[in-house]
Amino acid sequence: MKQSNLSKVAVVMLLCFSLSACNDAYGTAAKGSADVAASIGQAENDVDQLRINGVISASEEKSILGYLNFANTLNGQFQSCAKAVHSANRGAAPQAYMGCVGTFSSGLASPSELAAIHVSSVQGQQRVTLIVQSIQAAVSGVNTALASINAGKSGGQ
Amino acid sequence: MAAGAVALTNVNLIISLALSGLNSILTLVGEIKSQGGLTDDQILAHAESVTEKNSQLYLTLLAALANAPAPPAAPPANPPA
Repeated sequence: MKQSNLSKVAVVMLLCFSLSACNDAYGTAAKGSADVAASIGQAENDVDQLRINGVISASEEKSILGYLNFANTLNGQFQSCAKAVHSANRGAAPQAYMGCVGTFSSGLASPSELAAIHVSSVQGQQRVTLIVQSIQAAVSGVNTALASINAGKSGGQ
Repeated sequence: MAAGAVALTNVNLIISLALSGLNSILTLVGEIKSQGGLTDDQILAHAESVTEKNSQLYLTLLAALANAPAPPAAPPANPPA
């Protein structure tokens, strides 16, 4: 369990470093969403390879792709939310964007959706879990980056 | 395999995935510099474009799955030593 937590911390820290170059909340949300989108596309291809290599079955791939497509839909909604926040107030506080991320995160963690990513092979389950965790960690990283900007603005003024 | 070794493998894989994500952002930063600077709106438009491509990829993979031959049996969970 400690190793698992360490893994998550490593991912979040790296994403924070990569996002820390942005000092505006809207730009951070936009870059974060682009990164999550890239991760989902890679995940779709990875899952297809798992099936081609015989690690998971076709029906399992279909279920996992369904989850990834759901994550992709959530990312699209996050983009719309960020755009709406920016349109309403060009200087919106990071918390406004964090609300959009919160909806994204809770959607990804939905038990009914997570039920779709169970596979029979132990090796396949490990890989699928890592893929899903990497997307969840990327979304958490966006939230952490926005919180960091918020803390910086609060502390600097 | 010892549980610790499996966990360590997972750490390496996750870090690899994170570095991949970092690389994609650095690539994006490279695009920004090479094109003289993208606005935040343009970056969001890029994200929307990739999201749309992901939706198309999903449909393409589903269509391929419908025509895919039966896969080989998955390896046993605990192969004999």
